[in-house]
Amino acid sequence: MTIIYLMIPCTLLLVGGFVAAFIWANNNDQFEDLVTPA
Amino acid sequence: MEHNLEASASDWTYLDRPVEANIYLSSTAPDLLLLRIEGVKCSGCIRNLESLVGHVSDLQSLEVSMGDGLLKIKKSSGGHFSKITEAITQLGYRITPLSHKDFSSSVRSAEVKALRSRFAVAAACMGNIMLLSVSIYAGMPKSYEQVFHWISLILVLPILFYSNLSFYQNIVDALKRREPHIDMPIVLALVGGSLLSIFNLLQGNNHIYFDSVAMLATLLLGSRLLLLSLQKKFLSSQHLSQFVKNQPIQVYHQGQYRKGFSDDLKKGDLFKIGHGVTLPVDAQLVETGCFVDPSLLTGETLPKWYDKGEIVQAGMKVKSKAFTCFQAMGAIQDTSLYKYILDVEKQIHGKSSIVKLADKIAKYFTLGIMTLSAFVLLVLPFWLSIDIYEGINRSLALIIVSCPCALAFATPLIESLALVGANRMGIFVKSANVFEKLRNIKTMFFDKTGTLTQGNHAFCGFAEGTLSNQQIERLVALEQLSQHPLARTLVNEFASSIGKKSVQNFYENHGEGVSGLIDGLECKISKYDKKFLAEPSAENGSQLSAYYENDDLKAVLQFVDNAVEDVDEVFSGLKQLGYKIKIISGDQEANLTYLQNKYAVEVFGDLKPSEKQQLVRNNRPSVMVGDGFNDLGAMGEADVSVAVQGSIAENLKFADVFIDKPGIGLVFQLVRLAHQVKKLTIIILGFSLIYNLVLGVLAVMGAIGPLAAALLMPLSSIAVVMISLVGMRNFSLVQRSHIESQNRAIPPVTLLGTGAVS
Repeated sequence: MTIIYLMIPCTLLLVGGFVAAFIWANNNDQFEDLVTPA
Repeated sequence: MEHNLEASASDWTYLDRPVEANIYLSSTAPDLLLLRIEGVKCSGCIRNLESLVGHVSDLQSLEVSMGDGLLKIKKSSGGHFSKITEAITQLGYRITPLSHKDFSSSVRSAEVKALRSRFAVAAACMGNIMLLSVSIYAGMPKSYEQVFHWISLILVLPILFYSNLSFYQNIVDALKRREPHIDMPIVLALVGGSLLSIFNLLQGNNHIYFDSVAMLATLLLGSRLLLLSLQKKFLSSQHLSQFVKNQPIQVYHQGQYRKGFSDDLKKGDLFKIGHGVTLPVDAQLVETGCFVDPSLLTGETLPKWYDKGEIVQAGMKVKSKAFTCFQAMGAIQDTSLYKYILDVEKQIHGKSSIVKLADKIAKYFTLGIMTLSAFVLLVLPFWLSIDIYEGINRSLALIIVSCPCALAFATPLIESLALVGANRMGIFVKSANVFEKLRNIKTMFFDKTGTLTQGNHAFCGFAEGTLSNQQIERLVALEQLSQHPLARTLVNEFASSIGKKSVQNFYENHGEGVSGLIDGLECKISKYDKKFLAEPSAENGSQLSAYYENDDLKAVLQFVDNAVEDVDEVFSGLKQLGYKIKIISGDQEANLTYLQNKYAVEVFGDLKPSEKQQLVRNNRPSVMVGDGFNDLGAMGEADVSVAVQGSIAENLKFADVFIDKPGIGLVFQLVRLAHQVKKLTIIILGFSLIYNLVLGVLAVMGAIGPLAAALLMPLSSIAVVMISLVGMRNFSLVQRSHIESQNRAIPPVTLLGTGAVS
């Protein structure tokens, strides 16, 4: 079970990475127009 | 060009210094300032802001547009903008000046964007907290459990310090205005729950609510995001302008015409449009002249001829058998029609679509819930002798489960949807109050000419003489080359005779007639005056054309303005709903008796406009349906005035409802919509009441815990949105079939046109 001491920080990093990616996309207007073709 | 001035929020003096304020002020109207405003959520806010006029001497007038999140202020001469902005800030609203070039509907999207980020962070943290929570509930060794709680705490911090900021902001704003806010119990639950959990974690006991807190925050932010996106979509100034925007056009680009959007037109662009399309911009005719229907702008239903090189105004409908080529004089935004529509929209969305009662109920509800939870927290544990933690659990669950979001959002949402639904059908409703009046007022006046009749003429036979097949073929050959709408009616009528003869020396004198040489005969079609008829029995309102061969009158063709199709259904539908129908007209009484017999309604003929007015006044409360101009007096007297056809500029000024389609079918749809609004409001308020009552009781009894409550709470918001959308669904279907029939209405003659573009 001690492996979770490694896995949990990895998870948190992963979460942080995805959240950062989403916020970057949001701030760069990637979600402003979901209707017209790219 | 948006300037974030939060750092210097208290110092607005730069707005009074001409050089620095320059980018915000227009040179033509230096007294006007446009601001983005955040925190305007209800009619109370608008009243608050409006009360500034009079209190702040520098402020002359002020306009709020809730849908766009915009505020327009006008200072008195010699006044200072800084005084006004300071007063608004003190009321607790966040404002940002906008440069005058910048007032686009994208203002709201900044708010949506921020909320989207907050939601994303909360959702990511919540997902991970739930994973940890499930393991804890499944049973873990004590040592790991403690570790998992600590990790949950780390994950809850971004929610508390970032995602929840918008809730905190709302509370601070509300406190400045000294008013209760529906977010108060939410913040209490979120912050209180977190602090209590941290305290218990340090104490080493088991009552930890990080999962509930994260779940509540995420779901609330999610439903707010959904609502804000809906609002942005429905309340933004896009939809009324839709009928000049998004017109199907063909734009000239790199040597050929291609399908394009009217929104992208720029000055100098060449484009083609077909029959029945509304001209989106002011434009010059380049290749040929054409007939246009100016009714939207002037109320005149007879088509008007424009020559090559003339400039046609935006809003006119092209009536031509072939695609017509134009050169744009500017973009949509430059046309006076568009500016006018924007003005009206601000008027529409600034004040209506807000329901004061629901606002009030939500506020008292909030206060009630907070009192009740305090009671549960402080009194219940001693009274029922339960654990103090059980008391906290129950009061937390009660606060969470009875969040009155559904109550506060439901009614404005339904009204917005109804306004939008009406707009999509081609009905422009000035204010949401119209729906209530339409339900309650049961006397409806209809004007006859132009309202119950089509307003355009159909061929109905020969008033004098008849024509042989040969003669009809010649007639059709001649009319086929003509641009006149009556000519197209004839060609459609005698479609089997198309293309049998060829015409030489064709000549069209616009508005007068056409002539040409066929089979060696000099054929001519021209207007004919009723008084020359042998038996002047032609029906009222009919138009006559004469057909000559070698100057010899062969026949007189008669065209009649027929009744609109749906009168029958509409009248019987309205009668079923309990409405009394009265028809008024300037026409002779004799011409109306058939209406009386056919539909079993009251008719009043031979009325001068002033007599119509008198009649409507004496029968109040009443609804008046008329076609703009000659009925304006009567419409002014009515409690609800509905204008069909006619000029948009005039009608929106005088009428409460404007219908941009011929026929009265939409009048019935509007009445149905009004009844639907009431039905949905009752359903939703009833639903919220029962939902909150049942779950509130369960929470106090301890049957549902904080986590279950956090899961259940947003379900009510989602249910409300779903009920509203489903309830209004029928009306968007009407819209679709309407558009389809409109597209089909292009007559087959179009295909014969020379400039048909595939």
